Amino acid sequence: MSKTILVVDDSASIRQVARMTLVGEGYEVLDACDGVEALKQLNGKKVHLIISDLNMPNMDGLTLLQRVKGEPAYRFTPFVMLTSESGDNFMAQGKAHGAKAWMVKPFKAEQLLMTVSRLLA
Amino acid sequence: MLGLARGQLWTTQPGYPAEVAPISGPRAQHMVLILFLLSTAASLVHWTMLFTAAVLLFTLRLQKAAFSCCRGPQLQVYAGDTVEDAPVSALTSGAETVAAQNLLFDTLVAQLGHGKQLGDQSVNRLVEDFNLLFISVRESMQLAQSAAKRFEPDSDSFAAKTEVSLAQVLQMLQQALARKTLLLESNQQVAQAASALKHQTEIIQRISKEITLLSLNASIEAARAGEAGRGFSVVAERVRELSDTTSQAASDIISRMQTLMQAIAGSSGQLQSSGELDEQLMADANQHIGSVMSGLTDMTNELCGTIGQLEKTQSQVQDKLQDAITDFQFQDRVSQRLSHIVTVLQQLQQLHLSGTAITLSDVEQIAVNLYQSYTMQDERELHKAARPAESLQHSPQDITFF
Repeated sequence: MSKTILVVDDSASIRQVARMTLVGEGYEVLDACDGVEALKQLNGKKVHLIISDLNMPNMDGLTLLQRVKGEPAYRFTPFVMLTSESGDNFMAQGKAHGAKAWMVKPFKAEQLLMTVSRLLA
Repeated sequence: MLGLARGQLWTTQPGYPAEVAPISGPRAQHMVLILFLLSTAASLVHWTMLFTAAVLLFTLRLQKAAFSCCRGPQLQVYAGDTVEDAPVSALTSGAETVAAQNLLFDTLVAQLGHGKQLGDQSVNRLVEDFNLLFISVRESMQLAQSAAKRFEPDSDSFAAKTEVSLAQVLQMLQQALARKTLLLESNQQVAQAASALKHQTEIIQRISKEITLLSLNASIEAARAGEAGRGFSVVAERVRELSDTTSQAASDIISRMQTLMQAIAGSSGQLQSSGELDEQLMADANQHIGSVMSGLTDMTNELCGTIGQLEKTQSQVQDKLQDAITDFQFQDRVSQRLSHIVTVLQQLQQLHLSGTAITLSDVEQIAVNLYQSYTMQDERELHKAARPAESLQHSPQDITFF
């Protein structure tokens, strides 16, 4: 059975690029344009991995991370930050709230796939 | 807090143009902020660069207009500047200028926003198109692969199957030929039997002639015996008649046997030559099948080679397409930078609209806000250095696992 990945980013082009890269490798992809929509998308659904941007309207990636980690169903779902932000303090916050990895945009397809397969192994 | 200590950040950087460096004070800060906006924009795509240059020009003109219409206390703020102020002219009244500035700022913000939107839409469409292209290439590659599999030289291939069915046809021909040979053999046996029969009939004919001769002698002896041999003479005559009839029948049989034997010989000859012809045909067919098979093998090998080449090219196209799609992420970066510039423009507009003199701390606050809005490391580095983007070596694609 293929694994499902939720991609959260306010940039449609990033969502498209991530979707194309992941679907090409046989993953199922759900997407959302911000944290609020991401929570709506989850809604108890089985998701194996979450990839999220940091800066988004309505609800940013760190808040989403905290909300997701607060839900028993998703407590152990790996969470990857995919953002243009590379500041140490942001990364430290991400780590503190339970993110599994921090990827700085722009990403390369093989790097995204490597990260995903490593976290889903 | 962000390395933006007053009077330090903008004018003391190494590599900063010498003629700009000595300038200080709020005006200089303002100009450098705008210069900075220009240098930020320099790292964006071409149209964005051009557009931002236009923004700079407009903003500078606004500055000039703003300074030229400042009177009284505002003029005094700049009284000590080493930069030559624009002459105070009677261009327009203060209120009109403010309205015109406002309109221009609105226009700039709207134009930048529209540019950003256009860029976003176009790139999204491009990503979708490239994605479709990527999928098509992948599908055609799968088709090529399955085609190549059909022609691969193994027991399941087209050539191998063709060879097997042609061999079956040859075998059937050979069996037909074998049956013809059997027919020829039985024909010859019939001919031999007929020949033996004819020979025996000839013996009967010879015996019949001797009986005729014997009956003639008997008739002569009967005549010599006179009246006593009369009955015997009748018998001898009757024997001669029977012998004649036998001889006649044997002669008929021989003649018919001869016809029969000729017919058998004719059909045997035909069978023989037809068999020889068939053998020749078989040999020819074998040769033709051989050359057809060799041609077919050559053709499938060539086809396999071409398909292999096609697969390689398609694989390269697929890789390039994937790279191209990944590269479209630039739009996200461009879009973020444009948003930051729009925000600064809006803040500058607020300042101008407030109608009060622009102070150093106002400008610094905008710079601080701008810095805080950054998400990309190279944006921050560019801000700190206020130098052309080309000289920056940003190192993206970092992954940190926790």
